[in-house]
Amino acid sequence: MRATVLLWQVFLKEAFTRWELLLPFVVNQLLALWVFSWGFQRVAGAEYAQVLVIGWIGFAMVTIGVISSITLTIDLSLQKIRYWLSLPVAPGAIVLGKLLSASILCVAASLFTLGLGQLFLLRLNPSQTLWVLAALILQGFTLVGFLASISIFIRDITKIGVIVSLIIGILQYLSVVYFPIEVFPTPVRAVIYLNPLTYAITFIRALVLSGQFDWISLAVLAGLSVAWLGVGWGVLQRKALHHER
Amino acid sequence: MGERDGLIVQSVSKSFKTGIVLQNVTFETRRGEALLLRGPNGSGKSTLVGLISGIYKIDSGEIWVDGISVVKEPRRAKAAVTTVFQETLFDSVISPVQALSLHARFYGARWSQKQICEILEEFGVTEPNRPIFQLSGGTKKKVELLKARLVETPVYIFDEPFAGLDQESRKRAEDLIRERKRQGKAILLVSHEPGRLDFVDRTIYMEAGRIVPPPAVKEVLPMLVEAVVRGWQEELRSRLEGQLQILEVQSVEPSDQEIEDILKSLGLDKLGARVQVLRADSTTAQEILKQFGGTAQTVSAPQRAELRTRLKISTELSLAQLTQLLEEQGLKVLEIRQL
Repeated sequence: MRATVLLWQVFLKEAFTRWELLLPFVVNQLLALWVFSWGFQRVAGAEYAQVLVIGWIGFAMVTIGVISSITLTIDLSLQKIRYWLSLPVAPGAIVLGKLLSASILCVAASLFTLGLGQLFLLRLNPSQTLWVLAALILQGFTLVGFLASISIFIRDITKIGVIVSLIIGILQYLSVVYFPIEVFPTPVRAVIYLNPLTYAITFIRALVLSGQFDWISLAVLAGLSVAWLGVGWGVLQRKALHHER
Repeated sequence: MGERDGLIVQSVSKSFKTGIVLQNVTFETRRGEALLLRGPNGSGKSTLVGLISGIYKIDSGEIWVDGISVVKEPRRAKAAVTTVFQETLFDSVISPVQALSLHARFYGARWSQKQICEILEEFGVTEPNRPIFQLSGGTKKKVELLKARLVETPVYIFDEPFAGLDQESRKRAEDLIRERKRQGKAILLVSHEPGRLDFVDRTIYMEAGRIVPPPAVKEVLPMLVEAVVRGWQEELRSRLEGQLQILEVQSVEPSDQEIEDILKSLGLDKLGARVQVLRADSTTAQEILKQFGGTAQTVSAPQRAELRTRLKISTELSLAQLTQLLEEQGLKVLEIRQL
């Protein structure tokens, strides 16, 4: 168990030392939140600015989530996995550690944006903050499990830029990041319900803007997080154990 | 001692997509025993190491590490074995100190970075804080070997531990293995290098994924080699027997320069006599030496070491391996060729 905890610490440290990811992220979030809270508030009003900021808090973890998931899938097919497998750690724990560290990085990204949103526009009380945190954690698990499951199908690593752009684009625009789901035509809504970002954003908006507790969204999100984390874990573990020739 | 102490490999088979790699492999090495596993490249030795260390999954059979089943309790079994891999698997962007410090902690061993630095330097790793990918192959090997120095487990596996090491480092590596054996650890040494290792108790042979009897491997036809060396001494003959057969030893006619150098090394030029060699052959050289008084009646060992000797050898070793072996005995190999 000691070795497993130590390996998870290493994964977490590795995840948080990717400055090449974190630095542009911080700059982008600062600029985005400033534009939303200042520009959109003037043009479309405070309510829409808040809708947008909450959507952006949910979306903040996507870029980092996509890159982390692809990186962890690549890690599991390189020499690194051979070293980790030789350690007194179960293969399943290696994969779980990787998924959890990527999820924590995602949640941290959204929390950073939440902090900025709180500073510029939102006024969350402690209880709301805790529920928002819970929703973001569940979304982090869902997103990483979902993306990791998809990323194992990447055969050509040189096309990674195209794939990342495509995934981010779909998650960003076929989603509730910019508008509530009610705005979309009915056929598109079905697609949006498949987007893992939908439920956390909907839940947070209802909680913060209307003071309503959307149990359904939270329950669906909890179910999705367990399911996708389980699928991601199973798929990646299979990959880790079948790294053999 | 328990019934399953040490390392027991029982009817182990393994296949990859490319085909069968190991078939029904069975052997054991007990506490305090060093077992040498030999076999040509591609015979399945490294796959076997991968199975024992938990990198690969066993298809059928069983491996016991200090009484713990690799199949049933892989995590505990892995904690009982230290594997020195053929090529280091450490993350190449971190330094040897970081890699070893972390590795030791995975096995519950506590070493300060200062202690690890000292051990690394003692082992000839002069830049312990440089990223591993910037180190030479030999230095990477030393870093990998030090896992066995820092971590204490009942079983140790060394996969080609001497490959790429210089003579001094090889000696340190051998000392390390000897020390672990003396402590009662079970040792599996995997090597396709020739030469006898004094700490090895038994040798088993592997070919095409199977354990084979020694004669099947030794059926390789010996090669006839001629080597011109400097520094030959007759007592080396007995030391080299067993690894090769010396068929003929012949002194090579000394050149003018060699004779002159020998005479000068005897201090003859210091007597004030100008040495001029008119004709040089072994008899002439001896005659000249005899003419210069009682102190230079015969050619002494240090001077003899300067002369060249032609050896005719029968061996199963490659020319590179033979050169290495001769040089390990202090000979300077000037020429070597297959006859």
